[in-house]
Amino acid sequence: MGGILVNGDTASTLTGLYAVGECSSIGLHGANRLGSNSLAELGVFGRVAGEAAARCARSLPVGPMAALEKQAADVCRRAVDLIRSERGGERLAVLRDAMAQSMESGCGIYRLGPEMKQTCDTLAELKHRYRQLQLQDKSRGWNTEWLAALELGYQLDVAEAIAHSALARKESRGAHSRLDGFEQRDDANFLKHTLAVYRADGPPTISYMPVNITRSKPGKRAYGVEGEYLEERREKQTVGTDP
Amino acid sequence: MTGDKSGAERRVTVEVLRYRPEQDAHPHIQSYDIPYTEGMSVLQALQYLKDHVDGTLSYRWSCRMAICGSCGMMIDGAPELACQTILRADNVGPLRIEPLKHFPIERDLVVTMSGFISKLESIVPFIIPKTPRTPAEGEYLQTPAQLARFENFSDCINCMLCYAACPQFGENPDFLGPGVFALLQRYNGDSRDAGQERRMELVNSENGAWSCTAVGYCSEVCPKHVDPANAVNQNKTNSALDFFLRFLPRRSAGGT
Repeated sequence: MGGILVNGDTASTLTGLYAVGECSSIGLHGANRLGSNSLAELGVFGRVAGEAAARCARSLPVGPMAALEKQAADVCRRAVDLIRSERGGERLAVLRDAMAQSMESGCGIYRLGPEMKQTCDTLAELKHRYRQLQLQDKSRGWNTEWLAALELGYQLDVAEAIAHSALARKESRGAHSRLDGFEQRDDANFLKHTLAVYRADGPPTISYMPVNITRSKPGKRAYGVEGEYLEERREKQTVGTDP
Repeated sequence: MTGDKSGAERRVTVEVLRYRPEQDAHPHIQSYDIPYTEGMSVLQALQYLKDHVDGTLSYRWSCRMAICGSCGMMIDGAPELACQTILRADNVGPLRIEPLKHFPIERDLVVTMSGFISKLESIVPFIIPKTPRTPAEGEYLQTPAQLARFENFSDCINCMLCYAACPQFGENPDFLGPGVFALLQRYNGDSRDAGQERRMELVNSENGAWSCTAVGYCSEVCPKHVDPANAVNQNKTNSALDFFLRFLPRRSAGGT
């Protein structure tokens, strides 16, 4: 299941950034992360993240201050720009609801190619409209409209990563279930992680990396009578082998 | 004016207390007329307001299902969670929504929580074991009966409704208050904890258990049925015991 790519120390590909829990992809959960499993993950990897981040902070020299301050000023300017200027007529709730609606229809429980494609297009359009977002609240104190606007910008990035990754994955696996001729798991072509890399001026770049498989092999998830049958077979065999 | 009896779109007048320190000298009431559907929560009404009528309204919220404790506010004069208060045709007159009583207003329906948070921290809200165990030694074991002695108090979601209900807290903002007592008793009552002595100093203090006048409204408004009044009462007993036990000769370190 998706998230910020991290190694076993919870370190992301960006030096100094550590991710743990629901936002991270540490390779523990496979293609689906069942509800609440991230809580157990937090208990273990929260400590690892804290210790690794402290080690990293101690070992790195202080960065070039002028460059860092300029970077911070740029981020600040972008955020402040959201409440200051006369930007256009787009309303926050309209864009947010359109994003949610599009993700529901294209990247919901069962997925179809044309619908996912439509969602990719809608998200691109929404990102464009986001630049015309006009907030009513110009205040600097407890401005939750501003907070929601900042969140929406990032939500659109994440939504695009999900939609483009899903569209390119022509199989069904874990939480990704297609009904358009790709109902089966395709280990020959897709037993790999999708990597979506941010691009400022368009949808993310999609690439792949190998999966590190240790004890739990990819297997069929079945329910009802079939599920019970497969479980019985699995119990008779050695732990960890594919039924 | 409000409530369309013809069965078409229903509307409700919502009177919200507004206060934006950057522009308002004083808090004031602002009225809105919004559509609603039967069974909608007050939080949904606020969200409709913010999304479609007035983006400048601020309020705390998160889970929408009475787990996070963020959306406590005064609804028609009573402390309630906005997510759990439902609009129905028979109870919808003009709806008055104000920030939680007895707390300083930060902005609109958002109150300052810092006093509450520092009280929470002051009672050392974690288990202080008598003899710490290493992971190799295994878990701290507890029987169901031992769990039952404090489990109820661990259901507190820190929504602070009990503080808005407490007349003593209204008189004295330094009173430790019902919610913090519930949490304090959650640890003092835990068989794995040995930190009671550290916490009794606060219980016995001027702003501790004896400041409570046993009104009981705190337990009435609690959305999780934690019964904080019971926690305060138990601590009156514990405080009295603590006082009288000091007249007895101290037991030797090895026990008697």
